[in-house]
Amino acid sequence: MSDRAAEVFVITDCGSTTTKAILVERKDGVFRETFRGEAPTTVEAPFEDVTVGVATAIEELSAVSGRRILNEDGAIVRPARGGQGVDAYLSTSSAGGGLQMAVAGVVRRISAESAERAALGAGAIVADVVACDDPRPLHEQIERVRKLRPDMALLAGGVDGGADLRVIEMAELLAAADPRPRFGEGYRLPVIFAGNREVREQVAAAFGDKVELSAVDNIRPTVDEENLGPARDRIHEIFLDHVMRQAPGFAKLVGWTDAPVMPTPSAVGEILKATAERDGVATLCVDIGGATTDVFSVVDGVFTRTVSANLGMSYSAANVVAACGIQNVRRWLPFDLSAAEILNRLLNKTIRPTTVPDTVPDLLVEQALAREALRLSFAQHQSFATALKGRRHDMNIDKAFSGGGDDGTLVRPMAIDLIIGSGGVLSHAPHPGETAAMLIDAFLPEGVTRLAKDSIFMMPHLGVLSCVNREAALSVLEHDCLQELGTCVAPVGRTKPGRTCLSFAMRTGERETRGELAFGELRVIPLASGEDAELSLTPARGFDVGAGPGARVSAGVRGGLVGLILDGRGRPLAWPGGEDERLRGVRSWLEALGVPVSEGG
Amino acid sequence: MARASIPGLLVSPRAMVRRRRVLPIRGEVLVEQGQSVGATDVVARALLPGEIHPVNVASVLGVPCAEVPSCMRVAAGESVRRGRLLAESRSFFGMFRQIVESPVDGILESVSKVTGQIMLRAAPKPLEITAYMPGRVASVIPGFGVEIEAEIAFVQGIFGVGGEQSGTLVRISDRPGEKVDADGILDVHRGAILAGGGRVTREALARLGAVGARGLVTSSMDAADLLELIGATRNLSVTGDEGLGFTLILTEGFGELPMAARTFDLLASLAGHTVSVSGATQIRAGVIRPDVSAAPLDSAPRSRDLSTSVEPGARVRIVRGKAFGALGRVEGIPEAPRITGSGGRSLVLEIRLDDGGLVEAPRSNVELIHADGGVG
Repeated sequence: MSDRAAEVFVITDCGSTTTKAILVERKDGVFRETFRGEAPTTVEAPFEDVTVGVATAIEELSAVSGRRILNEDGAIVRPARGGQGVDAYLSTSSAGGGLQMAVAGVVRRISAESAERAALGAGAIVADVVACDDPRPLHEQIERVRKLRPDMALLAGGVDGGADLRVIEMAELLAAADPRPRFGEGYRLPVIFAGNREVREQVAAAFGDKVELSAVDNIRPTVDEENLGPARDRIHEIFLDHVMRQAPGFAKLVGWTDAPVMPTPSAVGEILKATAERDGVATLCVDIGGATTDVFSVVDGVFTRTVSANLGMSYSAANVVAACGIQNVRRWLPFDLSAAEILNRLLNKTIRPTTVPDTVPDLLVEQALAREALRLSFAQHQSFATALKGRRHDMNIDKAFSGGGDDGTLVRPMAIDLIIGSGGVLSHAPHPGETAAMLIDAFLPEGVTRLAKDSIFMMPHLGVLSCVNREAALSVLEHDCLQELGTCVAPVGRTKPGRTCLSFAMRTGERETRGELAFGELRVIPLASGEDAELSLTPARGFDVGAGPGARVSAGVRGGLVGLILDGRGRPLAWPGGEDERLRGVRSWLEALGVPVSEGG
Repeated sequence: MARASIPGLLVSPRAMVRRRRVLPIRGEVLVEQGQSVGATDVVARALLPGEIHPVNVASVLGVPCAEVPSCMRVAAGESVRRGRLLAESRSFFGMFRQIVESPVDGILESVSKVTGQIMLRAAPKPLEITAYMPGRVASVIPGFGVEIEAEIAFVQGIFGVGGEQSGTLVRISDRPGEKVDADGILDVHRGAILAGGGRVTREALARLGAVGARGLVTSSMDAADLLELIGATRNLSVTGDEGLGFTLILTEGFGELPMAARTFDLLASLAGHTVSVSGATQIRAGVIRPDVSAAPLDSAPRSRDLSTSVEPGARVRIVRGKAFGALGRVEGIPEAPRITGSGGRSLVLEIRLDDGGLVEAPRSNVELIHADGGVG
């Protein structure tokens, strides 16, 4: 980068199928995303060089922007001068399957869970977690580790100075499995030891020269403390220095960039943390793909990421159905379709994942599946985002082994201020009401919650940009990345259908809208994008909108593509009894949000 | 001229096909570049390391970890048979004897005096890779395998389960769309690869296994039947190792879908010939589709145009929505996205269907049929 403050950035995200490039420029003192381009990712044959796709995406960006970014030799033109070149090139990557890790610990719900949290927070896909209390027989665990072929492994266990030798046993097991890295024949698998610092030598002896071992500070120095930072940093270092250099073309990519290449999910975490910190909002973000669903949250300053590896819209559709039951998918449809027919449609999507719904019923079947995939992913996220398990005042170790403990989640729906949806089914839903409906039905937000979508999944780009220029990243996030859908107000409580559960008054400038919300009703009050309003909410006795049962709440709210959504369906959602009532209810909810509904097809 | 690029499944009476045949770990390649091979010839082999069996000797014998080496009756690196004495200890003036016997045939790999744990490795298992299709070794990947090139009759399916099989192809349906039920699968079909034309029933699948048929290639099945066959939580994006005893290949998908006439006719022409089938399907990156391959018939013309480029006039098939399976010709390739029936915006093709109707279909819902070889 040049000495003057950088004003023009080209940023790529190398995804598993597509490499997306964006151009960020300072215009009239404000950083904006000005152009975008994309190309197929080229990690696999015949190219086997990620930079081919990067160069193509940047060339497309050049074509639409008129800015020359690559010179004749294919090198980035720096610095930006007279409408040519850029000041910095940054990139994230999840290509080639992203960063895949194996995680091992002593107690599944203590050291192994902390290690998993560190790996997920560093942007990894955790291929498997093994632990001494794993219900699988040991030889099965070893066989599994041997077959995994991860990019690296993380081993944790034991408190500092503790006498527990099981982490050494685990090291012996891993050594016996002799796991091989995914890329690079003859290259030794990097293993990070983040356990009891007193047994580092014995752990090293157990591995011998089978792996590339490095040690960092204990991830659980005491049962009351979790110290994820050193393990997370080492994962990033190894990702850059070893893993990326083995993947096709990545060594070249690392040489092109002006800041370290980040794993895509790790970059998403960075931008979420930046916005949550600046605005003081508790944020939940979801990215639903064909195979997996990533859920990120920042609540009370604590960042948590989970990956639901088998919950997705195409490859994993059968797993979603297996986990939730076909009737739970069917319940979201406003028309009668047999369970067998729904399953046929979903699995046809699995085997032809690039096809798109071209009838309303087909679209609604996919969106029904999305609600369940999101709901299950969120439940997994909530159960993972908890206070530390195994703390002395909570339990003893025996209790942890037996699976007991405090499961109170940090990510309570009432605590969430903003939900951001991303991924094809959410971002490309034809109608914004459909996206809002999926987010509300899946996450069941409580109280007052803003809803937004990232229509092209630009957050990875902005995450890596935030590490270089936070102001620029937040500016683009606000102006170009997030599309506001509106604000959802959901009183928590139960009463008979039709009874008033909330009285509200919304003031926008001189305009005031007053009304009452009936239990079971879903209603939208127009409030356009860019419009702000003052909201006064008076819940009925026993209902809570954030300040406790029956307590009045005043809040400034934002409009959006849908508006102000008043959700009186209760929490948990109160389903209308009987099949005809269910069909009518689901239809009325969708129609309230402006979603086209039709039968047939 | 307007163009678009869309994929298609290859269905050809004679096409030049290349196939990688590689070991999962380094081994030995048994053939040379340029060599002719048969479908069942072994081209590479390796020894897969045996499973590891850990035994915590210290806890079984009730001795401190540091004393485990002195209790061992077998040295690290030594071969052992299942049941052989590995370690022993005596306590209470030698009156009580505790022993550890080997749970497997294999090798004692290590003894830890830190944890008291020993590792036994079971005997390695041989793994062989065949050529799968008759052809020529186009290239050798040293230590791992080969690429075989062959001119063959070739049918790609959309989804399959089960590994590689070969046998005589027997046609069991008279026309596309004819249901494959249990009555049509006979005892004489043992060892055969069956070719149907319509949806296969749950009962027929059970019968397939009972008679010992090696495979079935047909158009479709109910998704619920598939999940019952292979397990509801099985990963559908990578298949091929289900161990069903037979291979199942679907050419169209799930539901009541007739086989494309072109696919049906080609399979019918191969009846009585030896075919190889592979159910292995990989839907994610590096897509692999299941296939049927056989030596081409003498009269079969060669497919040349296998590109994915579409121009007006190209023959295509719709693979989603109300018109699933409908054939037609591309009439227009609009450059701007259009609003589709779902309300979404998509790049589309204007297609004149064989029944005369004109429809717009998202490009991603259309498969190309090559002019001289074809996609089913």
